[in-house]
Amino acid sequence: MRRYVITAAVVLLVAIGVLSGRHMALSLSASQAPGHSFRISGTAAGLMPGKAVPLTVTVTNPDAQPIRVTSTTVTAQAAGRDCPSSLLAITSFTGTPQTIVPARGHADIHLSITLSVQASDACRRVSFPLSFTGRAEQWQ
Amino acid sequence: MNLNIRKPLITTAIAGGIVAVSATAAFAFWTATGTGSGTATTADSSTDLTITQNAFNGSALVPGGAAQAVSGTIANANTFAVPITSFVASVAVDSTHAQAGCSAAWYSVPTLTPPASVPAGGSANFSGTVKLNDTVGTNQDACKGATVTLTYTAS
Amino acid sequence: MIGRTAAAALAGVALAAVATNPASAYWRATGSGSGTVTTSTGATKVITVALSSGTGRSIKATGAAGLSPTYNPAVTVTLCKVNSWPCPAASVAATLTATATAGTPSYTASSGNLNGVTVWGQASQLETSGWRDYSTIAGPITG
Repeated sequence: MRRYVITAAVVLLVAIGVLSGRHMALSLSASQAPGHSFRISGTAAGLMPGKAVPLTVTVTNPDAQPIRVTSTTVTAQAAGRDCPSSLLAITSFTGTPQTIVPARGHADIHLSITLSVQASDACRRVSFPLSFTGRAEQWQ
Repeated sequence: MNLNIRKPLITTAIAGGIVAVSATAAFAFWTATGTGSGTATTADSSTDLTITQNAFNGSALVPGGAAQAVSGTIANANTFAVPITSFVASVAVDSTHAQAGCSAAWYSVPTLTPPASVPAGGSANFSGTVKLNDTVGTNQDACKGATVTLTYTAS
Repeated sequence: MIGRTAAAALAGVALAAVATNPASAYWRATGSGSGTVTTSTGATKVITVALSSGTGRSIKATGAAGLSPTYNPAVTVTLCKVNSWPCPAASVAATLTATATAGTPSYTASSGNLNGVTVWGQASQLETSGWRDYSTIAGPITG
């Protein structure tokens, strides 16, 4: 009888410990844990009106754990007064194909950027600045 | 008797609880945000237009004869339409006849009509006329049988 | 392959009116290409001229010329006070005409009294093809 009381007590202590850990883990889920950010970069060249040009976006993961990229969005700024950002059509990434960036590594996402046929001659040999934002989650 | 039954039950309960909690703990994870910048650069130039003249099927030129028709196409391999704002033709005489005294200045292109624009990935027609002017009093025999090359430039 | 001569003349028509778009309104492209046009070979030139003194300080022109159907038998001879061709209007001493026949010489034409002027001469006739053939220059000769 005593043996089982000791066993039950041990079990109770283990349960309490695990449940406490579970509580802590739940409070951390879906949070922006400090130190878990990543970098995005990319360039495209040779844009001409009506021509879809590859935009290779490189995601660099400085973390010690791999991440899965869930979205990447690109916004452009104007390249001078005659070349508004509305002349550019850029695709975005929403998680497919599955893109895992290894710990302290990088991976490429392939997007496409097209200059409108409305672009005038004033937009030859100009550079549109691009801004990237993205989200990723920890990957097991 | 009761002890034998309880022990496996407790073991099962403990194992089940630990598995359940472990499974729940595995769904706790962090997400991260990324940022960065880059550039998109436009090309400096475009693909050249291609101009082709159809084989000449008018009458061979004689001095003072009627202007003869020439025609051809302008092809545009770009992904955008190209308007034609300038279309000119220059004339050259083959070297044999030029050295014999046939002057390219005796030939003229009285009319030259380009298309207004050439569609993206397509082509459009142009037409014109060419003639050999009669320079009265000047011997133009050196031009007999000469091959005249018209070079068209569009922009 | 026959090369292209350097004596090329710009004989073209540039569009006077540019489209309503201003210069920067579209992405430009340029191009060029070429084609050939043939010139008639015509007929072989046969006309010649020789000058001699005639009576009364006249000049006589004789020579060979082509006949129908390849040639127009009407022959024109220009006597020029200078050896410069085409003869400047003020230097024309006389313009003679004749009709070629199947004889030797094909044609003969005489001027009036030229008062002892010194002239050079050139004969010409039309081909049916449209070409005008010119003889080599004869002279000088004094009438």
